[in-house]
Order: sequence, then C-alpha cells, then structure tokens
Amino acid sequence: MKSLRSLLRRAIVPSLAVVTALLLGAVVIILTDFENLSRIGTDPLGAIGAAVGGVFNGYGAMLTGAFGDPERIRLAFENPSDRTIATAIRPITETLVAATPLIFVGLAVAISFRTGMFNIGGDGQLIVGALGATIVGVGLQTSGLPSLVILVIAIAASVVFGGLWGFIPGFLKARTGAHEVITTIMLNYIGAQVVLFALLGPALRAPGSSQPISKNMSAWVDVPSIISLPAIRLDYGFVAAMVMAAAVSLLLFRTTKGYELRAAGFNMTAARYAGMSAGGSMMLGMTLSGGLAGMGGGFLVIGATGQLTNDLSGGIGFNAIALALLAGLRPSGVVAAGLLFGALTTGGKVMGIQSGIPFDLLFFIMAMVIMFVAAPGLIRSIWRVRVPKPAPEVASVAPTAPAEPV
Amino acid sequence: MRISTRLLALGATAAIAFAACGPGASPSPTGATPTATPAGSEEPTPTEAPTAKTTVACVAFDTGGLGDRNFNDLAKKGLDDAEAAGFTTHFSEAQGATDYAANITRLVDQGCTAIVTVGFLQGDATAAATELYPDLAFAQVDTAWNLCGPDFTCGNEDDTPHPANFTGLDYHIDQAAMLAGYLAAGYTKTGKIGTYGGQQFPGVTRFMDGMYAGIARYNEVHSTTVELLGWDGDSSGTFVGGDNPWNDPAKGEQLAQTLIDQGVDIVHPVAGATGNGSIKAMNDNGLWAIGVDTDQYISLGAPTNAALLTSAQKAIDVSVLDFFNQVEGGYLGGTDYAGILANDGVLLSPYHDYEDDISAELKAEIEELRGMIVSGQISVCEYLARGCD
Repeated sequence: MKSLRSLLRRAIVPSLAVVTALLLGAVVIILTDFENLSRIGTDPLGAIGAAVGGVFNGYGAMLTGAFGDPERIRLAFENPSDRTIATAIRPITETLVAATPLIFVGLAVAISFRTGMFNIGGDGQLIVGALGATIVGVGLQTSGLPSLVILVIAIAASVVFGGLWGFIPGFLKARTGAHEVITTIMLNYIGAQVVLFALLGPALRAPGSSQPISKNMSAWVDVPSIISLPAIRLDYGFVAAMVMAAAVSLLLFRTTKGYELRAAGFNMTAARYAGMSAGGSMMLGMTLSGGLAGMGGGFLVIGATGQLTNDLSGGIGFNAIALALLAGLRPSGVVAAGLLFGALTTGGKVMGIQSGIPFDLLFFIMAMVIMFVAAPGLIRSIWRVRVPKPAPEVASVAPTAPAEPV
Repeated sequence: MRISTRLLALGATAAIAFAACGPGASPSPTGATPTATPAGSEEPTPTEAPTAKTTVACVAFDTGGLGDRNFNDLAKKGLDDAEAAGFTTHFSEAQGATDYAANITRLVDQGCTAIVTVGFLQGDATAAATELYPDLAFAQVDTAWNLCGPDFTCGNEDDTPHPANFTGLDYHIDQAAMLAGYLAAGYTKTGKIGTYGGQQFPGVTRFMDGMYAGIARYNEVHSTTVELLGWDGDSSGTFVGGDNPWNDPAKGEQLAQTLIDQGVDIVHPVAGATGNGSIKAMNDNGLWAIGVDTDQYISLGAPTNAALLTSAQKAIDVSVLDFFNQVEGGYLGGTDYAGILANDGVLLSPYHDYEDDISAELKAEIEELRGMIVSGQISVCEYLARGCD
C-alpha cells in the first residue's frame, strides 16, 4: 500500500506536466488556426467554437492514432479478417514500436546519469550499434546460418559497437578528465560520419543505389514478429526492451556493482574515499550505457527498418535524454515515459494526417513536458497541489529522482 | 550544457510561435493554403462547382520535405489543387526513414485510395505497399518502374514486372534543360557556364545532360565554343555529396564562387536548397543562374530571383492532380507517366526580368528548338558526349 502511494506521489508531477503541456498545445492549436480566427470579427462565437472543435478533433485523432479507433475495432469484431484486425490493432502496436528504441536509449541515459556521467551521445551510440548489426547482418547474408543465429550475433555486435562508442568517453574522462558532455556530442558527429562512410562504400550499400542506404536484410535476418499480420511491425525487440529495463533495475538497485555505480553518481570523491574505483565506475557506466543504446539501434535496424540509413535515429538520442529525466532516471519510469512518448509520436503522426495539425506541435508539447518536470514548483503553483520535495540524487539534472529502488 | 541550450532554443521557438500568433499575423498555417478552398465554403467558384469525388487522394512526403519551395511543395500544390477540385485529401510527413512504410500504412488506414509518395528513398516502401494493397493506386514522384534497380532502390533489383497498381511519375527534364542550356549559351558573356548536382542519379544528371546538350547544339548552330563546367555529358561531374547534399546553402554559395573564379557567369545548380545558395551568390555578384524543378523566380522571391534567367521546370503539381483524376476515373496503374515538352510535363519557365534583355532572335531559336524536340526531329542524347545508347 505504501509503495503504491509513493508511486502515485511520484507520478503527480510528470502527469500534471503532461496535462499542462497538452493544454498549452491546445492554446497553440487555437492561436494558429488562422482560418477560423480570421472570422473572429464577424462571427466570434462561431470562430472560437470551430477553433476549439479543431483541438478536440486533433487530440481525438492523436488518441485514436496512438491506441486504436473504436469504430475500426468494432469493424474488426464484426468482420474479422487479417486486414480489419491489423487496422484495428495497428495504432497500439505502432506505439509500442515507436517506444522500443526510446526505452533502450532512455535506459542507457538513465544508467549513465546515475553514474554521474551526462551521456549526450545516445544518438551516436545508437547508430554505431546499428552499424555493427548491419555489418554482421550483411556479412552473414550468404553464410547459410538460420535467421535467429544471425540475429543473435548481429545484436551482440550492436552491443559491442555501441558499448565501444560509450567506453571511449568514459575512458577519456577517467584517464584524462575530458568532459563527457563534449566528447559524447563530438562522438555523435564522428559516429554519423563513420556510418555515412560505411554506407557509401560498396560492401554494405544496396546494390545499384548511389544513396547511402544499406542492403535490405529482411530477406535473411529479421526480429521475429509478435503478431503475424500484414503491416504489423511489432516484434520481440519490444520484449527485449522490457527485459533490459528489468535487468538495469536489478543491476542498479540490487547488486554491489550497481551500488558502486550509483555511489560514483552521488559523489565521486566520497565514492573514491570509500575505496571504490571511481574511474572504473565511469568507464563501466558509459560502456553499459553505450551498449544499451547500441542494442536499441540493432533491434531498430534489423527489426523495424530492415536496412541502415544515415538518418536512422531521427533524434531518438535527444528525445531519450528528455524521457529519462521525465522518468526520474528509474527504469520503470523509463518504460512508462517511453510508452508515453511512443504514444505521443505515433498519435501525433495520425493527428497530422487526419486533422492537418503539423506534427511539429509534438516537439512543442514534449519540450513543455520536460520544462514542467524540470520545474516542479511551477506545476505546484499552477495546480495548487502538494508535491513532495524531491530528494535529489543527481541534483542538477534530476530534480525528481528519489533514492529508493523500483 | 546541451540539454539546457536545447530547451532554451525550444522555449525561444515557442515564444516566437506565440508572437507570430498576434492579431497582425496574416500568413496561413502549414496545411491550409489560400488556393485550397474547401468545398462548401462561401467563396464563389467562378467556373464549375467542385463535384464530390470518391477517391481519397493522399501524398506521403519525404523527411523535411514540406517547405522546400521546390519538389515537395510542388507535390503539395498538386494535393491542394485536388482538394479544391473536391477530393478528400490527407498527407503525411516522414520524420525519418523508419516512417516511410509506416506512413503509407497510416494513409491506407485513413481510407486513402490513391497515394503518391515523394522522394526516391521511399521506393522500397512504395513497392512493398503495392503488393500489400493491390486494390489501391500508388504513384511515386520522379521515378519510373524501369528506372528502379540501377539508380533507385525500388525493390525490383531483378526486373520484377511493373505492378498493376503503380505509376511512376517520371520527368524527362533534359528536354526543358536543353532549352535552358541553349539560352545560357546564347546569353553568356564569358563563354563559360557552370553546373553541379546534389548527388549523382538520373533525376539530377538529366538536368545536367540537358544543359550540356543545349550548349552543344548552340555551338553547332553558331560555331561558338561555349563551355560547360561541372558535367562532361557522359558520366562524371561535380556533385555536392556528403551527408547534407540538398540543404546546405552556404556550400552552394561557395561552389558558385569557385565557378565564378573560373570565369563562369551562369550557373545551373541541381541541388535543392544548396542550389538556392548558389543563386544567391550569383545575384550578389550581378551574374545569372538557371533554376530547377519549379519556376524559382516565383518560389524564391526578391531579391535573389533577380539572377534567374529562367528555370527548367517539372509540372509535378499537374501530374499529381492528373493521377488523382485518373484514379477517380477507374485507373489503377500499370504504366509510367512521362513528362515531356510535348505534354507540358516539363517546360521552360518565363524569362520574367529578362524578357526584354534576351534578344528576339535567341527566343525564336529556342522556340524553334522546342518545336524540333517536340516533333522528334532532335533528341537530347544526340548532343551528349556519351551519345544515345
């Protein structure tokens, strides 16, 4: 009971932040509805009514786009066929597909921030991990190995590549004191160029194409689908993300190593004084972080897309930082926030198609969510609720991160 | 810190967004352009009232495509025209390559029956969709089924037959670019014309081929030695390349400056927004440029457009609308559309500011050349270094 109450208390700020951001988003939708607002002089009530109607229309589309349209679900029950069922469940499965890489990279960010390392390099680690998976995937095309074996090796390669990309800044910080914010950002650029270089070479590039796109590997290696229906992309990558969330939670809160990692994050000097290897924690934390982001890239490139392109990440690395902060750097929170962001992006795309409200509004809403989470005092004064004083763990970045395990 | 600067930037953006919403703001939001008057609005329609159509017309744009004042915006204009003509329309914008297939599926779920994809990278996703939804009509801008394979990835590396529900919207822009090349050769004061492309594939090199052929034709007729820098009329030339070939105006300015230093006074850049940088550089130097894809004199606006002699234009909007109309009439696909001078699928834009400056003889010669290309008397490849194969 106590844990449920504390869970609810922890969820107050993020939930109210989301609600506030959506309300602000609604204001933006109304204020940019020039077509209706232009009539405000002649027909003020009608204009405002229509503009507000536009908000309900847009957010309604976002909701059905993220979770499912009751009308289509009804059709699927009345007339069950592959296509109607697929249409009915597609929104929710697409939400999970969108959430999967966000959860992977969100966990990566959480683990590094817990270690006191501000890993801004999620994007680079994801795409370099994806490159590792692609090299294995394309390399083993003619090996005759079963798809599942290739998959396992490819994912392992993505972890190694991503882990290496995370290890470098960890090593540089531990040995030379080079600030990881700078090195991880720079490694994002280097990673992107390495991937571009690899894709422009003849070994990985799709035959005949002059574009930087790899061969499509789905013919010989794929992440198995959970539901086998046409154009349903949900695969076991999502399950792997869940397993990883549990594993990260166990590692951080139930093992000695995890305690050492968190101790380094609390206070590097104190950890060192207590006889722990602070440098070792930095390197381990960053390597694990990079490995997780790389694994996300591996599942993305083998599963959802089937081929590597240089714009694979699409900003996942940066969204994941916001997401991990929203989650208070706890794995269960990362899963919840990942699902929320997945729902917002998936729903936002459908909103764009159905109501013409540009998808870019979503960036505004997400940014607002983060700003409100970062300023709990603001939420407190807007909604007049009592919000528990945060017990800061990584004080400067995670104001709402409490100390107890999940 | 990176996060805080991002947030700051977003906050600033939000502030700008709010500021832009003030009562004095007049521009229409994305998604609602003035030309797209929905059916049933109080504005009188001069000729015929749009009749309700059963086809749901949709376009899947490429990443960052909308607002390029070029290629994607032309397709958007086609969609807006379709809406004005009584079609129900939807469109989607890709945020990354992972969206290509997903967006097509979303449009299908939305009830779209005719879907146009924009951008060659969507080839695989489009080809897969034609198999998955055999009863819906698909079209892809700037490709043809038989063009897939060697230079595009359209999922048919092994000569798979043309799907019955696919239409490639292909533009033989070399015909229009040949006219532009002829004009450039007749107009240049230094005898040197420059060109370059974003990346090397047919959609790009066709412009450069046309330039080359137009200049070669002019040289043949007038016994001159006007030179083209940046494309050899065969297979090698200057391309921006890298990871941002299409949206790097600063690079475009630099490339134009390099060409100017080599004595070039007219540049024909085939590189989207990168090329817009070159046009700006030419204008800054009081020199000239030739636009691509759309009438860039109109899309770029003053003052940059003062450099534009003309543009080699693709009627993407017209062919997109055409496709929707054909689907309304029962067409599903199976053939590729070829935009040529003869059907106004490609054309030379008006000369605008240079209407009086370009001599009447030159204009007449261009008109004559146009007639010869339309009638088939001359084909572009005859004037290419690699010849017709």
